[in-house]
Amino acid sequence: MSLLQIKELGLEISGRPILKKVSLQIEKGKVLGLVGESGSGKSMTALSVMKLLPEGSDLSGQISFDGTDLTNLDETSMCHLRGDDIGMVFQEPMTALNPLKTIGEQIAEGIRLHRGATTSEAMHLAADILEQVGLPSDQHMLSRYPHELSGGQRQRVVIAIACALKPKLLIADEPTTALDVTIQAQILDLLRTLVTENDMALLLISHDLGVVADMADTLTILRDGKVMESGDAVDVLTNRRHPYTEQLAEASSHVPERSAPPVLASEAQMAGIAPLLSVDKIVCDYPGKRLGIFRKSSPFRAVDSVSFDIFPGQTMALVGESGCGKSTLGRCLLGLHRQSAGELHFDGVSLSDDNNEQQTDARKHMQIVFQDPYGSFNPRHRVARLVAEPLFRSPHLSAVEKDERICQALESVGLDRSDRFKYIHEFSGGQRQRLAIARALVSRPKLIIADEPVSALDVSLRAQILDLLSELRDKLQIAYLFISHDLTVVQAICDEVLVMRSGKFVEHGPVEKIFLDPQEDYTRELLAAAPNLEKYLHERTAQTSDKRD
Amino acid sequence: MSGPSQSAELDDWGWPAFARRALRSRSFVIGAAIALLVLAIGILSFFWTPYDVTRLVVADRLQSPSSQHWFGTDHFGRDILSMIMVGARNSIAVALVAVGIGMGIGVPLGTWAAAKRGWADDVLMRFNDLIFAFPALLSAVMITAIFGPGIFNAIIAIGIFNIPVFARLSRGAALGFWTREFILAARVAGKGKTRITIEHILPNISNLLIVQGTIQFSLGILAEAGLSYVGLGAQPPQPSWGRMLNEAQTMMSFAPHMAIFPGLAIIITVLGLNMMGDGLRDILDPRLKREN
Repeated sequence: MSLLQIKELGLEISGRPILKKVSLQIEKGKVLGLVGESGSGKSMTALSVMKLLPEGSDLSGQISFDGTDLTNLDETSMCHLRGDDIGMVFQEPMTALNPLKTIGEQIAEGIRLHRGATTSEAMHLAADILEQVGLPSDQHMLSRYPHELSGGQRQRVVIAIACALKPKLLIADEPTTALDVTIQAQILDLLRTLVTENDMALLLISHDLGVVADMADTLTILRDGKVMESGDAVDVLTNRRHPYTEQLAEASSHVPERSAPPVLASEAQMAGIAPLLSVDKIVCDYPGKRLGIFRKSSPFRAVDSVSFDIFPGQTMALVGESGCGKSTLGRCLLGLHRQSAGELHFDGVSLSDDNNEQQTDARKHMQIVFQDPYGSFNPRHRVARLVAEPLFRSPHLSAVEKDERICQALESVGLDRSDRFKYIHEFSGGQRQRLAIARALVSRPKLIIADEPVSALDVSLRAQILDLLSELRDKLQIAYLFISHDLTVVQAICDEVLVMRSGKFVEHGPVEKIFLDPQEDYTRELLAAAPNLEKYLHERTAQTSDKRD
Repeated sequence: MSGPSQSAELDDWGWPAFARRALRSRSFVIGAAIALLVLAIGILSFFWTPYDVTRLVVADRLQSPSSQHWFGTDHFGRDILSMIMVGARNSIAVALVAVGIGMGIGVPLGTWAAAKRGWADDVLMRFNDLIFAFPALLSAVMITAIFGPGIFNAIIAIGIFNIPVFARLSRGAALGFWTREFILAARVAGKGKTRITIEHILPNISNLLIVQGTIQFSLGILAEAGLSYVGLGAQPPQPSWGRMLNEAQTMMSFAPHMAIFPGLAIIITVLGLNMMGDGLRDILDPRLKREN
């Protein structure tokens, strides 16, 4: 019998149906991948198993865990199960830990509670578990606070807490979404080891088919609270019988079509084309922390003397892990952050000097698209006013001309003219990102700096936005600086890649060369860590056929 | 990811949403009703009071509440109800102008400091701390003692102590918005800091300012009563709640109504304004809502 068996699980929250007859099962020592886009009900399925649902929830169906029916279990018995037999790992490791307690206390807490162990015994056990999750188990580590750890270390601690009592089932809700790719690979490795060593079952919730293809034995795909397809992971993802599976798989490895060949620096230089943006040894510092009234620590160098060119119509990718300085560099180019040294030329105009008219005119042709489609608009203004913002630098336009520009921009991103009278909350995430692009387009820019423009979107929306960006590039000859940590996206849309680490460029070259023949260790590491659906499927099919032979 | 949840709360705004939530908040409805009542009484006192508050009828002095004088009369034979009505408009005027001074100077200073950062911010905020470090009422006593007692100086004194409250609040709120992406987008569009503050920052922090304004308003009424009580506020024969309490003090044992009614007036008004402020905070800023 399966360890966890969910039969026809239904969930309504204040009368709104969230889950509709969801059935799934997990065997001991196996990994079930639960995949779906945002709002599909995958987190709610996990919370139903834990019985940690919000108020006003109405649960129907059957959840049986290790022979007991959880649906009728009271809160006290659930408390015994939670943390002891079922552990849970959340997406955001910072908010999942109590900032006021040392990690030792937090791991020991569950052990004391469930096992009745004394504080010193619990601390000993906590040290063992830290070792198991790959953290140094000395006293020093146990007495540290969450803010003293890196994101990856924090997630290890969260996993340690969840696995402290060797649960039979571990539920991991997007455990690596907030982490860098290299850290993600490490955490996934850790989870895999824990599953085999402890013969534990893992319910892995993810939106990333790549991660699931790498990890899961079986797979369940959810959409709008309904199970679309379930079965053996490799089988489901290779054969793609259900149209939605096909759609998801296609979207997550989507490559937009392009009419023009990629613009490469070497070719452009040979043809004598002047670069659109030329960056020469630029340095960005953050002021140091204040130590006293008159004392400051030395400034933090976020971008350390980097140089590159972007040619008209070229899509340049800037990749690196969080904190490597890629966003700071983008902001510096836009004049949002003052550069400490170096030269910036855009469209033949120097942007490094003090303000002058030429510069204002040039800056008009450089725009930005942000990552968060929710935070990048003032909720109090109508779309027309939001989109028209960059036209501030074109005061000669009449009201009618401005309105026409707004309409054109909206239409070019696939929205309707009449949308300009709406407020931002009337739009979905994907539509908001289209609006963000419309806002960037309205001043007819030559360069758009896109800072993680698709990272916050579901895969199918991501594919649409990438198509849109690519289409606009072909039609309007716009150059992009595409800041991203997602190498699949970069490979799909970019011409050249800059790999950045600790404020410096590690490697620079055409996409194909970097992806097929990386020269630097760091680039190789990044590429190896990036989840790739096709690669994993290929590997795993090869493994199974090997076993058969 | 903090973005979506934050803006989801901001999304539901505008008059219909405001009215819908306002009517659901009991403390706002009660508080607003009391505040409106006090305001209406204050306005009414311009046109009509049961008796003339400046007319002394010594024969009628120290009467207990009766059908002629609902709240009784004082030691000069003046009608207490009429005095409370006129006193209401005094209190409201003082508190209103004092909050106006605080907002009018504090908000521009605070938003300017947030936009400017650096030494200007430091200097301004340390100066703020300095004013904060003084007990407000004591310093108000000092100001009115130097410049002479009177309602005008009381207003100035209370107003000055509202400045740092609004400066600090608006700076803190504005700082949070300066890192938001829609502000960055406006900066990329080439807009200056003043324009961004007016177009984007102020509308977004207005909720907080309105809530704080209501609370400062009630504190202003208390401060005015306090100053009048020690004789530094409104001067006779202008009636004022604080001075009425002061005058009643010596007669507490045989004419308690002289203290009870102005005291109740102060308590009810301040309570009403605080309830309205609390209610407004729940309505306008769901992030601050406390779990009940």
